[in-house]
Formats: sequence, C-alpha cells, structure tokens
Amino acid sequence: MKSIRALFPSIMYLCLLCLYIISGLDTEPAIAFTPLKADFSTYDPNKQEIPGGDTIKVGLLEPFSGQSAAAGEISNWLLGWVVHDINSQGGIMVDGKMKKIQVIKADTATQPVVAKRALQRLILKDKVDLFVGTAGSHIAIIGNQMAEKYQKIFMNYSAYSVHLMNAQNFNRYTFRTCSNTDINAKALAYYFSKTSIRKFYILCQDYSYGQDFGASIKKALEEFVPDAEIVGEVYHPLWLKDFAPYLSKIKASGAEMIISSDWPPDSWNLMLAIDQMGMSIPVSGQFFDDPRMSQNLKNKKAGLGNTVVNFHLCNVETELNSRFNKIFHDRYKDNEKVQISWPSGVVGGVIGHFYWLFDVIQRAGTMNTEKIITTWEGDTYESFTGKLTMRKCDHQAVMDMFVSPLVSPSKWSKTGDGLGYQDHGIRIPSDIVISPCPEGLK
Amino acid sequence: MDAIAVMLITQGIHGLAYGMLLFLVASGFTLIFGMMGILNIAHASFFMLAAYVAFQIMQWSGSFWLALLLAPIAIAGLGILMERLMLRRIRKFKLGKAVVLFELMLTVGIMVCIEEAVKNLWGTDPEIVNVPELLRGLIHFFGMTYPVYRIFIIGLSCSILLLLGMILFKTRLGNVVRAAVQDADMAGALGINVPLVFTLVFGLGTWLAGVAGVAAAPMLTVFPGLANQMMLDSFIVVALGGFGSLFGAFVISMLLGELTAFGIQFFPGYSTIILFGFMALVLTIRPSGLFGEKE
Amino acid sequence: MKRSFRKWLLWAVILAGLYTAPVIFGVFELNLLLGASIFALFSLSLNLLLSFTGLLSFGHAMFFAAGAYGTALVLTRLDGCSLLSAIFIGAASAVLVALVLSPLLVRVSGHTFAMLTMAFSQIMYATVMKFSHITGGNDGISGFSIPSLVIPAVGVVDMSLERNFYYFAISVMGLSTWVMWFFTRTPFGSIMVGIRDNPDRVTYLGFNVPLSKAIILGVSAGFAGVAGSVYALFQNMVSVDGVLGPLSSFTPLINCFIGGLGTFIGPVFGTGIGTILLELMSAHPEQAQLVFSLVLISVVLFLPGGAIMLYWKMTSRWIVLRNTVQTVIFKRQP
Repeated sequence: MKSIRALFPSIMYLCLLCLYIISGLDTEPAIAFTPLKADFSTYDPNKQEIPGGDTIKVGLLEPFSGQSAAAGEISNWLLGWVVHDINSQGGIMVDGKMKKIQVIKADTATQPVVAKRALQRLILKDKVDLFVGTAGSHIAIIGNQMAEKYQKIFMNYSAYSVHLMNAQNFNRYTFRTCSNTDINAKALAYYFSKTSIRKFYILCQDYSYGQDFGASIKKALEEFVPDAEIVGEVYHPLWLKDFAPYLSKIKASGAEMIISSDWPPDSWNLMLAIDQMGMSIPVSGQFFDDPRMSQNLKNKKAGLGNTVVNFHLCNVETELNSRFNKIFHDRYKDNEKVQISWPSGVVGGVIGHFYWLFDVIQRAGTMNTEKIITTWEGDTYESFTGKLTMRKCDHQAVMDMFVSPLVSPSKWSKTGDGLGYQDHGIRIPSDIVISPCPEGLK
Repeated sequence: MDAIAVMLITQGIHGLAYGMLLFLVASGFTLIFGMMGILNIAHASFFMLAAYVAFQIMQWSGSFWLALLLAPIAIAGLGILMERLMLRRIRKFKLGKAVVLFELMLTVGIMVCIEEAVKNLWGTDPEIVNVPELLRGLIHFFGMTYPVYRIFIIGLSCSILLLLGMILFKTRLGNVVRAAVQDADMAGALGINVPLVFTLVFGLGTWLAGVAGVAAAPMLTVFPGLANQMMLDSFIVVALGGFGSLFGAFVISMLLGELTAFGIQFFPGYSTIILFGFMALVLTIRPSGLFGEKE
Repeated sequence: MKRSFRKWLLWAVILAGLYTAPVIFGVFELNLLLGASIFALFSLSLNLLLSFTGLLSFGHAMFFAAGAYGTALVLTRLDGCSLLSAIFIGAASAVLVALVLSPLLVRVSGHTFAMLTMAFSQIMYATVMKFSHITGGNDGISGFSIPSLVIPAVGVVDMSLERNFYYFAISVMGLSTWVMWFFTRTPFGSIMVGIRDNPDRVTYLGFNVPLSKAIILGVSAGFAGVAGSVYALFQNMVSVDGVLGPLSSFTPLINCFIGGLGTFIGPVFGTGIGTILLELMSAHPEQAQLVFSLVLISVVLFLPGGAIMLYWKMTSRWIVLRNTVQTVIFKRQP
C-alpha cells in the first residue's frame, strides 16, 4: 500500500509528461509558416482582407500621393503578397497566440514633415507594433529618429544612402535590409573592371541619396577601375521635366556609360529622353530595368546595354528563386494591367526581405522589441537568391550583389522578345562589395 | 563640325523648343491678365489638364492628331465655364478693391482642385504618351541629328503665333480685343460687348495653354507635377515681359528657354536664383515689366 | 455689462480648455492641437498684411522658414543656447529678412506685391537647396534637442516632456496673438487700415506710407518667424518642403479666406476648420486636398465673409427665430 502511494507522484509525472507530449504534437506543426505556400491566384493588393481580432500591426510608411506615389503602390503590393501568404497559413505564433498580420498604410507624400505626422499617427494612434519603409533617404532618416524615440522596430528596405546607418544616425531599432549606395557602387565598379567600358558620366539627383551615390561611385571606380575616366558629373533636381539639355551635354562629353542613381519617375523620363534623342549611350544604375518604361522605348538601341545592379535579380538561378519566379510569373503573365510579369527590379528582393522580417518575429516568438532585436542581430536567413545576414555593428544586411546588362530579345521580358535581362545574372560575392563597419560602431 | 559647336547648337534648339511651349502658355496668361486684370494662377493647371485629356483621348482612339484637335477645345470649354460661372459671379459681389484678392484665391483653389482631381482620376504614375508615327525619328542636318518631334513643336508654336498675330492685328475682332485690353470701360462705352470679349479671350487663352499641354505630353511625360514648373516659369515671363504685352512675353519666353538650356550646360543649379533675382529687380525698378506699357 | 461678462466667461472657458487639454487628450490629439495653433499664429501674421493693410503676399512662408531655420541652426551650431533666445533669434532672422526686402516691397502693392513676394520665396527656396552644407538641403535639419526653460527663482522646466512643451508653446502663441491684437488697436492700427483703404489720404495726413508699410511688414514677419521657430522646436526638424514647399505660402492664405477676411480672429477659425477637415479625411488622404480645395472654392464663391460670416448669419437668424418664438408663443413683445 505504502509502495503504491510512493509511486503516485511518479505516475502523476508520467501522465503529465504524456499530456505535454500529446499537446505538443497537436500544435507543433501549425506554428511555422512556409514561404510561398498560399494560393496566389486570388491575391489582389487592392482587395486585401483586414483581419479582425488581435493582430500584429505593421505600419507601411510610403508615399501614396505626390510624385513618387508609384513607389508606395509597389511596396503595398509586395508587403501584401507576404501578408497574404502568412495570413492564409493562419498567421504567426507570438506571445502564445496565433496572430494574423494587419497592414496600416501611412502616406509620406515624400515630404519629411508629412512623413513625421504620418508616423506619429501610426505609432500614437494606430499603435503599430513595428513599421517598414520607405522611398527617399530624407524620409528614412525621420523613420530612424522616430524608431529611436518611440522604441519601435523600423525595417528600411528601400532607402540606400550610406549615411543613414553611420555612427551619427545609427540606432538599435532600425534595420536596413536593402543594400546601400556604397555596396551598389562597388558591385557596379567591380563589374565594369571586367568589361572594356572606361568613360563614365555621373548623372544623379540633387539630394542626399544622389550625392551619396555620386561620392560612392567615384570612390569605387578609383578602387576597382583605376584607369576609368569620369568625363563629367552633374546633379539634377528631383522630378526633372526635360532631360534633353543634360543629354546634349553628356553626348558632347564622349561618355560610353552614364551612371545614374535616378529612380522613377526620373529614371523613366531619362530613358524616354534618350529614346527620343536617338542616343545609344547606355545607363547603369539600380532602376533602369523597369518593364513599364522599356515597353515604351521606340528606338531599337535605347536601353540596350543598360546595366542593372541590385540585391536580387530574377535571372539568378537558385532552386528557391526559380520556384518563386514560376509562381510570380504564373500569377502575372496574362495580366494586362501589371507590366512586371517577372519579379524584376527590387520586387523579388523586397518580398524576400519581408519574409525575413516575419521569420525573425516567428523565431523570437514575441512582439517584444528587445527580443526581436536580439534575434535579428547577427541572424542569417536563406532568401531567394542566397544568404542574408544582418550585421550586428550597424544593422546593415550583408548579401551577394547581382549585375545584369539588358539585352534584346530577352526571355525575361513580358512578351518574351523585348528588352530585358540577359539569360543569367552575374553574382558578385558579398565579401567583395561590403565595407567594414562604419567608424564609431562595433 | 566639332563636338562643341554641335552641342551649342543642340542646346540652342532645346531652349527654343521649351521657350516656344512656354510662350504658348504665357501668351494666354498675359492676354487674360492684360484684359481682365486677373492673374490666373490656375492657367498652368489647364496646361497639365490638357496633357491628361490628350493622354485619355489617345487611349481611346489611338490618334495623336485627334487629341491635338479635341483636347484644347475641351480645355477652352472648361476655361469659358470657369469665367462665366465663377469669375463673373465674384465681380457681382461689389467687393471694391478686395475683388482682386478673391479672384486670386479662386484661381488658387482651382489650381489645387485640378491637381488633386488629376491625381484621383489618373493616379500619380507618370503616363507615357507616344510620339505619333509621322514625327518619330531624327532629322539629320549639318552633321548633327535632332528629334523631329521637337522641331514640330517649334513649327506648331510658330504657326499658332502667326495666326494669333493675324487675328489680333489684322481683323476687326482683333481690334475689338485689343481695345478691350487697352481700356475695357472705354470699349464698353463705345458699344462693344465687353463681357463677351472677356469670355472669348479667356477661352482663347486656355485654348493656347491646351495646345501647349498636348504638344508637351510626348516630350515631358504626363504627371501631376507638370504644372508647377510651368506656372513659375510663366509667372516670370509675364512679370518680366510686362503684364498684357504679347511681344514682351515672346522675347522673355525665348530668353528663359535658352537660359534654362545653357544654364544646365554651364552653371547647373543656379538658373532659378538668377531668373527670380532678375524678376525681382525688374519688378521693383519697373513694375510694369520690360515691355509693358501700363501699370 | 452683461456683454462684457459673457466675453470674460468665454475667455475663461477657452483658457481652461487649453489648460486642461493635456489631461483630457492623448499625445496624438495634443500634437494636432499644437500644430493647428502654430499654423493659426502663422495665418494671423499673414492676416495682418492681408486684412488690415490689403497686401496679398504669395511668399509669406519665407518669413516662417527664416524663423524655423534660424532657430534650428542656432540650436545645432551653438551649444548652450537657451530656449527663449533661440526663439528670439528665429523671430529676429525673420524680421531681418523682411527689413532687407522692405525697400523693394514697400514701393509696390496689388499684383506686383504678390508676384514679388513669390519671387523672393522662390529665391529663398533655391538658395536653401543650393547651400545644402548649411541648411541640409532636402534632408533639412533634424535631431536637435529642445533646451530646458530656465525660469529664475522658480526652476528648470524640462521641455522634452510633451506636456511641458505644450504649455510653453501655447503660452507663446497666446501671448503673440494678444500682442498682435493689441497692435491693431493702437493708433498705428488705424494707419494700417488707412493704407488699405486710401494710401493717398494717409500721405496727406502727414504719415510716411512706405515707412509704415515697412514697419507692418516687419511686425508681420516677426510673428511669422515666432510661429516658424516654435514649429521647428515642435517638429524637432526643419525641411525645405515643409516650410517653403509649393503650398506652404498658400495654406495660411486659404486659412484666412475660409475663416473670414477682414476680421482679426478669422484665420484661427479657418485653421481650425482646415485641421478638423483634414483629420476627418485622414482615412482617405488622396481626396483630402481635393475636398479642401472645393471648400475653398465654395467659400470664395458663396460665402465671401468666410466662417465668421456664416456664424454671424446663423446667430442673427437665431435671434430672429427666438424673437418670433417669444412673440408668437409667449405673446411677449421683443
């Protein structure tokens, strides 16, 4: 009798253990989401369902009005893609609860003051858990400051100015998942060192990002292409209307390649002006592969040889990237309204970065800001085109870079025979392009 | 020819093309001001609206020439409506001197309204208008190449300028209009139907802006910020050229176009400061502008 | 007697409301209120030119910007600058801009004045963009901290707390508004109105019109500078688009018109209406400005006196209605 009573605790313990295992077996498989699992044939960024109940609130800080509203619409489309995927798998397990993701848009109009007001609304009124953004380095710097002030995570996936993450502007709450002007410039210069192009003209927008890129590319050309000749350098106002006088100036300089940091609509207008002037000087930069622009080029030579540098290109063949390309292409190849039928430009890369963000949250298992920071710092994630690593010292993502010239006909164009990437992108390993940690940070 | 000379000449033609477009906008602006004393701040917005209407017509019909014909007429219709229904209503309030303030604010309101309406109707993406098949390609002369379309813009503007000059200086209608510009009260006393002439001139002015808008659409792409720069530039033209002076508007438009083109070549970034500085100087020394006659 | 009592009661209610606002509202609403009051002061300073002197300025934002940049620069470049001197320097730099430009501006009026002010504000815009190593260009100046307010014999007030800053800023606004109101009530205020209605007569009376205009311009610019300076502190940043952008000179003008031209307090109503409108439309930011412009057009077309006129019309109707009710129902003589 006594021995049975002695056994009682151990039996209880065994029972509890069994219960624990059973319950664990029950919930374990549902916890993690898998990227690209959902059915995307119904996905429409303009008809996203707003989940009810307790949600993870993500603020999307982008221009939805003003000259660069197109950038905001694209970001909404890409974030919506990832959110659609995760929500249809049930959401993310945080703080012991499966929560769906809710996106709240905030319009910056690409003006710092408007952005600040929009951010205050996001944080104080909508009470977002974290926010992501944004087009325009002068807007991202507001994001940095507000993230620090209100201790919210800010993921920057599209502001490239290198000075955003230097010792003066760095803070623990801001993570940059995209590359920066230094990395882009180095990748481009490294690629040029393997070609015979030597005469460059620098044409950038006259604000911090354009000036940063101009400085970066000069430094990088000096490092990788010592015999390069910079035949001219000019900075034009944002949202310029007529590029023709600039192009005449460039033509007279005898440049073989224009290096430009311009983004839409400036990059579109630049290409259209080149087209109308009947010029054949190619442009290199990050945004000169836009299918919405290239379909309007009439001159056969315009756009040919444009060299694109990016942290993701769809013509990089990895297993995951090919799968992603197929899913994306199946969704958009017959869509009349969407010109981007392959995940070109930043499309694929940014989708990958959003998956990374939510994967980090999932592994942190909580919305606690400190826990997310410690999980993300030094983290490595296998994205579409390779490894992404979040460097701890300055929260700058480290990744391989990709360069591809545009050719025609290209299998990566919407029609299959228009202007587009060459068949395979060129991978430039991260250790060639990455700079050491900025001074004052470790 | 050597590269420098080619470059100088091409810059000169770039300046001419933009100057001509600017003159089309500014001539309507200055005519309306000279006659009615209304500084129509929304004038450049009509220019932008015309570009959008042309884009839409080309979406539907595919013809640039149809757009060039119809869009300015539609814009002129809108302008006439604005004059008849809004500006005329304000004059009835009998506000004395303050009527100037109200007219200005009305045009400010219309300017904002057009810009926002355009954003809501067509979105903020830049819309690309294709150059018509006939005008595509390049002209080769003296060993240099130049896009045909820009030459077309210069030709179109010149012919409209000639037509305008003929109407204003050779016809009875022109006499009436010039009389009304000179002294509306006296013209009224002489039995001219001044309100009708007002409406006519307002329609003509907005029609000119409309033509410029359609012509500019393939060259500059169509986006909601199109009006801003044009507004500032046409302000400079009207202030420097003299309020109500067509000749002054022509001279200053050409100068401004060339200064913009060569400014980019030789002193990028400073042309705005130079232009507005010059405008301020002229306005203080000679408030009626360089070529204006009356205050 | 009764009337003045009601006036005092109204003031007491407004003051109590402003004082208790931080207790009732959250930080977000507080910021909204403060932002609106800054723009109300800016519009009031413009109204000094517009309603009292009859000068339409299309470039008033340059004084606002001068104040904002003055304060921001002095706080980033000069260590240990006190709060009040930072605001003073902001206002002083706006006055300086006005004084430099006044020899050119006082000679003209009407359209020429409007165009000239616009030209100067464009020059200022281009200059700020060109000298980006000082002004920060498109990035603007940001990240400076607000110094604490040192009151002798009382202590130090920490301005990084939202509530403290609110009380400070609202007192600056209130004081400035009162000084401006007082200014319009002085004999000089009558000269202003005289210049508006008949400058020749003012000259015959022996006053120097250009000099008076220069003084008015300076005062108006000074208060715009105060508004800009507090704005820089409040936003903790200055950016060229925020203070000199395409619409920044038009916004206070629109406020004046919506509020009611020809009154002192009109712009305050205008700013209030504008803020509430934009807040109501915040779910549809794309249409907010469109609605705003339609409101402006309809005010200009159908209600030239603005919101104040609407209020007067409504109250007079109410009095008529009340009298009718009293006579008809209670058989009482009005």
